Amino acid sequence: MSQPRGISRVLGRGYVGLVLFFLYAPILVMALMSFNASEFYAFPLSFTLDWYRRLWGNAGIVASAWRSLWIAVATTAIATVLGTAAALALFRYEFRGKRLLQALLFPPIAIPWLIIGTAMLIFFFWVGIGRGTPAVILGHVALALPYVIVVVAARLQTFDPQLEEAARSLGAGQWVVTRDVTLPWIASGVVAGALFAFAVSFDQFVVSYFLAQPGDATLPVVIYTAIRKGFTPEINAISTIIIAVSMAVMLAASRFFKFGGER
Amino acid sequence: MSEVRVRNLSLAYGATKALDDVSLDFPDGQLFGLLGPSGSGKTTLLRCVAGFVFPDHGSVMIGGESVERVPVEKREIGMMFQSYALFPNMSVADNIGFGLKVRHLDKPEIARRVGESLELVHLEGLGDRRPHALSGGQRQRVALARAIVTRPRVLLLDEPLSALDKALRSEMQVELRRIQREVGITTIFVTHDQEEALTLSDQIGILRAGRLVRSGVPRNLYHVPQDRFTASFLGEANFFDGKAEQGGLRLASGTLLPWPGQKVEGLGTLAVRPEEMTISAAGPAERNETCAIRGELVRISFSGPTALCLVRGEGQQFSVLVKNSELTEIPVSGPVTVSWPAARSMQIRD
Repeated sequence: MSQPRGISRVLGRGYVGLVLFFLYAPILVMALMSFNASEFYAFPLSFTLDWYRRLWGNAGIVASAWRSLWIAVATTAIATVLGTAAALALFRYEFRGKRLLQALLFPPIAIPWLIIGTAMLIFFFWVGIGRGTPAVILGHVALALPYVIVVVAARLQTFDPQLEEAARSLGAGQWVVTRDVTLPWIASGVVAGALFAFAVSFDQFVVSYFLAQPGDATLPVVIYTAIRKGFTPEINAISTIIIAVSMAVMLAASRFFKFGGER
Repeated sequence: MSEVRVRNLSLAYGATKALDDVSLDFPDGQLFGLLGPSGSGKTTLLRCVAGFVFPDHGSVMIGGESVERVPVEKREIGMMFQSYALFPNMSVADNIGFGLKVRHLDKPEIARRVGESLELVHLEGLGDRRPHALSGGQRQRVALARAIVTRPRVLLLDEPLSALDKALRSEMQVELRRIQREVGITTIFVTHDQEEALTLSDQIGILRAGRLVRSGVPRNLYHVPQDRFTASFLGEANFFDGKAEQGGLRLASGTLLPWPGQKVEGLGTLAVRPEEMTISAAGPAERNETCAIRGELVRISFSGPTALCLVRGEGQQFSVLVKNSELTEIPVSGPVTVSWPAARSMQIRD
């Protein structure tokens, strides 16, 4: 009995090892090279922070990084408030077309961003919004909203609606019920939804590429443009920073929202 | 404190009538039990008084004031839910104090009244606990304290004891009754448990398919049920159908059940409680004041202090409740005579 178990254990561990290797090896190489003095990836590695220093001196990249950050923060704020409100409405009320509305929430997650981005560009020009930072934020909110709603709604599944009724029977109006009873229960879902929204916006390339003005592109768009002109280890440096930030955000998200496992 | 009156309440969910022209008075300070099978509309009626649902027709008055258009949070009610619905993110004291905080009372006053309530429900010293750290009975007490600390005009209880086990349930029935008397609050509670309704209530209303079948004092309803549904839903009853005749009710087999009442017009069905009947092996002498039926003992189901005997006779089956001590005087099976005082027969009018 112990022999097959040993073999399957070895196979299992090898499989997990390979998955992790192909997932993280490229990232690790890139991060290492961002600290390598040689521009041509020569070994042995000689440590330097020069690329980070040059990155800091590159006004275009730094400005786009800050722009990306505040667009992500704005998107997160708007999408979290709207998404939480929408999830609460879907939870509390029965209304005509509710099923249809819920069904319409999911396709935007599945439709390729390239197609959504093209559609948004055409539509925004047609209605007169055009390109620019407002259009980028609008697009990002639209992309992030379904994620927030789905995550908050999943948390609401575990909420006892009698708690809201109890609070109302004690004299609490709608706002106090939401603030003191409902939100504390779904807080972890709201935080997780906000982190998803941040990640969707901060890592967004396609929609930003289509909707931003050439002068105020976001960080991923600037990186793409830079690579087309010629690759420099500066890109490794900024990519390493983005990966560090994104992974920190997603780790925090998975801590708050255990994908339906926790009650 | 105030009385509650509902008049001509009707509410339909699609084709289903949840409430069908229900009018009822809930007197000031009394404990009123709403009893009925599931789907009878008792919970809907309670939620109409609470304000969670609004009737299609009819009026709800609390303390003489019409409240059909008033939302729950403005009705000054206290409600206890089947799941207790304690706020999991708050301590016991914060749960109880929630309604006071919402009313913007100052902190010392809230603390004082929360303390009083904890004392009332015998939970002194547990104010700092979280609801999940309490037993079922303790949670129930917290829910009750939270519902009455705001001094509501009416207390509404939705199946308050159904989540408790049997021993705890009868203990909490006594407690609930004590607290309700102490506070003197008009209370309406919903239950499907007829024994609980009989034990707790000053008055009972029996509902069936959205209609009020009967209402009244428990003893009165039990001993003079008047209709078949009340007779069989409130306790158990054996029914005997026949034709009215001078002196009583003539059954199809020819047996005459003497009726002590003056009038025999309209007499068609008599109901008898199983515990009013006695079984004997030999046929007793038929007397005017005694009803007697010959039958065959089919089965005895023993249940501790009493036993239920199933008897076949008069073309039907009926049950007789026998005390354990009397069980020895009864044959195990075979022909028996079942008798009861004629005054214990109850006339059924539907």
